[in-house]
Amino acid sequence: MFTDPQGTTASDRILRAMRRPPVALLVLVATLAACTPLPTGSSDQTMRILTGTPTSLDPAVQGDSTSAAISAQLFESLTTFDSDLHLRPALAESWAFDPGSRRVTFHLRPGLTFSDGSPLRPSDVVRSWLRLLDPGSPSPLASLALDIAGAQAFLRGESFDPATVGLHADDAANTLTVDLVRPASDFPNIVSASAFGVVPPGVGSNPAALSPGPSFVASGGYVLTGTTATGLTLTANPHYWAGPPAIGTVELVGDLGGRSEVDAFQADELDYTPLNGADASWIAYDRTLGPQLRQVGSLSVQYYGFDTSRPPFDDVRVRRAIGAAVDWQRLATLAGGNGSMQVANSMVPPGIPGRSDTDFLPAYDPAAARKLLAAAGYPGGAGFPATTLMTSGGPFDEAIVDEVKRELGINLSYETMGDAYFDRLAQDPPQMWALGWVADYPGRDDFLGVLLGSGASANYGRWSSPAFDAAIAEAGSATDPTGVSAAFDKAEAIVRDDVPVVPVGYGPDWALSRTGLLGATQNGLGVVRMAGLAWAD
Amino acid sequence: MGRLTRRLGVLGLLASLALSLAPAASAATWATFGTPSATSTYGTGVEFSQPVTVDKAVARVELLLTIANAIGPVVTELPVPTGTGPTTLSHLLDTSGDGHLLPNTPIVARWRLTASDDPTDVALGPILRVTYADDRFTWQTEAGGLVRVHWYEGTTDFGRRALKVGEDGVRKASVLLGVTESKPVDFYVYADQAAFYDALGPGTRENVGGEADAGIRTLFALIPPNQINDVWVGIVIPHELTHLVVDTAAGNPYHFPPRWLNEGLAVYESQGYDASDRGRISDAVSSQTLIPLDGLVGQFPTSADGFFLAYAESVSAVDFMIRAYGTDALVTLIRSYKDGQTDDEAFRKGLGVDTAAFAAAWLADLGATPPTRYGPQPAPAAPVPHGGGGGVDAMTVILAILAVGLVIVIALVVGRRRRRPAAGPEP
Repeated sequence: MFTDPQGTTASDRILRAMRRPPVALLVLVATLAACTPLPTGSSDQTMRILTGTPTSLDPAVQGDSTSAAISAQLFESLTTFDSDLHLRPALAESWAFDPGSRRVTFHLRPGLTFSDGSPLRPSDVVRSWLRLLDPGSPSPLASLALDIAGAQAFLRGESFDPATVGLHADDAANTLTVDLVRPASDFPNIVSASAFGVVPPGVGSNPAALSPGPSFVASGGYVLTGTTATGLTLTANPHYWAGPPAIGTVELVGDLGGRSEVDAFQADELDYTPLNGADASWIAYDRTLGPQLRQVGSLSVQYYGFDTSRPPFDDVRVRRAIGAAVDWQRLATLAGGNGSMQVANSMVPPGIPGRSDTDFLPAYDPAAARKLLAAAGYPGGAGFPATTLMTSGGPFDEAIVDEVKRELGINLSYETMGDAYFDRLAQDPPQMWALGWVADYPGRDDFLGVLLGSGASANYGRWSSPAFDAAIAEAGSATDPTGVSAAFDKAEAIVRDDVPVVPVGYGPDWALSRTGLLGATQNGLGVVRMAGLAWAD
Repeated sequence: MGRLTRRLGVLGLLASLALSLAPAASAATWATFGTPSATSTYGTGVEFSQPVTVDKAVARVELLLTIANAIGPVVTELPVPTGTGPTTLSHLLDTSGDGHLLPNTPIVARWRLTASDDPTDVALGPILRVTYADDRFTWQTEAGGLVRVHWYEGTTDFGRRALKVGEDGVRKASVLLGVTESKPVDFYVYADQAAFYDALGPGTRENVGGEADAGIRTLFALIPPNQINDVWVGIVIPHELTHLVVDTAAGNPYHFPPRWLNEGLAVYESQGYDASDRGRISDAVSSQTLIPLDGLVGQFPTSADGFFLAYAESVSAVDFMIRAYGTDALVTLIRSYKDGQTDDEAFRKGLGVDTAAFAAAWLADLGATPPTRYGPQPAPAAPVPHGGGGGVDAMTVILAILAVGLVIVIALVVGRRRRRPAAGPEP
């Protein structure tokens, strides 16, 4: 799911009313340790957390990490990842693959209900997942579901019969069987993503179904029961599969009105908040706040991309020229916030299982860049068409414009956009753009096939490479780790050489967590699992 | 930023102000633009308006706003007018709360329309230049060669005194860092704290007495008229001006000097390493509460004690730098940032040592022990571990438990069988 880099320019002051907390590049990236809440009754001590404002609470509509971090509390999927990135059962109590791993059967927990007490059946899972593939309104993360047999054709509108999609619910047996297009042994990992949250029947057809209040029905640990002046109120779901979460009420604070999150935390207005790295540096040495400081690993990447479907970036030589003209690693070192950002060498961030240590960045070679540009018909930048870099505002933007001008003689126009940036990216991508991507699940393909596969919903640069697609397919079909790794390496090398995107930096992020708040560990997946929190006695 | 706390004053009332406009010729073909306008209400927003007549359907309407010295505009997509013909486009730039803008921020506005039948057919409206001003007060202005002082309480002598301090300050800092300042600097003097903090925005930390923004070449300070002759005035103005000069000397698109260096230089230039700061450092060394310099690269602490200590440490480090390495080394260090250097590169170039070595030398000079780091800490776990079972993993666990149980049973049975013979026959 996407996130956006931190803005640091004066212009960004008017961008802060976005779908993220105003302070940080960072969306909420803590994930809580326990997947099972405490068996004791709910605490009456409210927990207040700075989350930002979601674009949508509908798992099938959202694509951004802020929305995902909230909807994941409301709508549970079949599986989830714990703080150690171990896959755990959630609505499903178990699953088993057929030989060959092209079919998986999930056994749902017995007696599951939604928060209103109505039964939650395998057919509800099918209904929820099919919404991701609605050809008229596909999910921004629909690509995550394309391992399901028939999903691609359904998504493209080539088939209108949901029965052609390989999702088979047996409510009597309480099972969901999924036919897969490849030996997708990682499918239970993939469906842990918040996009696969199971929603009640009204979602999608009745707008009131997502409105706070008594009519809101959840499958997750919390129910959306109200709003506050600055956010949303969640109440523990009494019918949650693991019992009511230990913390009875959670207030999600969407906006501090420009105030510092540190001030709000110190004023006891927040119990958990993402934190700007500029504050983390001194807080580490503060006797009071230091012990409440958390380093939050983030399975995320900040990257730049090109619209490869239109001039001038439909010419691979132009993309390679840009790729070689900018010293990306030095850029991240210099502009990455006093060393708080890790320099990228791959689209896949550290912490993703099976990640290669190979450097997959374009080689920095300005002389070669100038030759490539000349070969493309733009010697010294002469005749280069008017080209715009549009982002949501980030620390590297100005430096990139500067380096491209200096090394290639290209005057990139630069524009930033607020709330509508992500919609623009999806519908009419700028010639050059930037994005942050937080893992939906800990897998290399979430940063490769999902972002760059031909026709993938999150492939905003509309890049298409049969060789890359083949490498991804090879990785998906390989049954041994070595084969999987080799195929993904091949795919990453193609990205390096074809330059549809260039990764720049990785997390980590920071947070302040109130003393006495238990279980507030993280795994970097961009979703806080509040059902696992508890207050110390 | 300055550091003196000021008493609370009276909040000024909001007012509206028509902004100075500079319309340019329209570049439209299928769109005929009229004269754009903008009206500002301080603390509320700027209302932009643009009459236009379109001869064909519009697919997209955007307002491009270039704020201050940004290298490009912020784009706001707005509702598309229906059909063709005359219409008036409008948009309120909300400057309340999170959308706060500093007073004296220049804005360049321009409307952009995209035709429905051809996404490459774009019509650009005329350029409108406006300045977002603090219109709550009637400002008086006194201009010098480089500095323009604006104040709303106090006599002309007050303004002239502030102007002289400003002109002297910028000259001194420019000489120190070897730069030539040529662009005017605006200096806004607020007479009460509430109005001053309101001007700086909702995220402003307590204890701030001045602030400089290089992007708009403006500094703001809190100086009540009865304090114009206070020592404070001779401090806050050169302090903030030093920041602007540092920006001129070191500004680059990549990386700016650490905050402690910037603030330390400003304090050193404006008041030196005075007894008050020396006392704070001495106390902090004794109580082992020093914050290391790598803890002061970004924001400063929020508490008053921590805030003042951070400034004291900053000027202490700069004082040590000048004593140990010399002024020329300091100037080389600052100016090397202009080329896009990391902190370590700049320090090695200027001082011959990296940041860690410098920080260690400074601590040693103070006789301080390395400060204690209290965080980050791992989060305490919830008392009940994960209770899920199931899944392939869980099934494996269950089978393993069953298998282990079976092994135990077998072992017990076998053990018994073995022990019996070992026990030997009963006597």
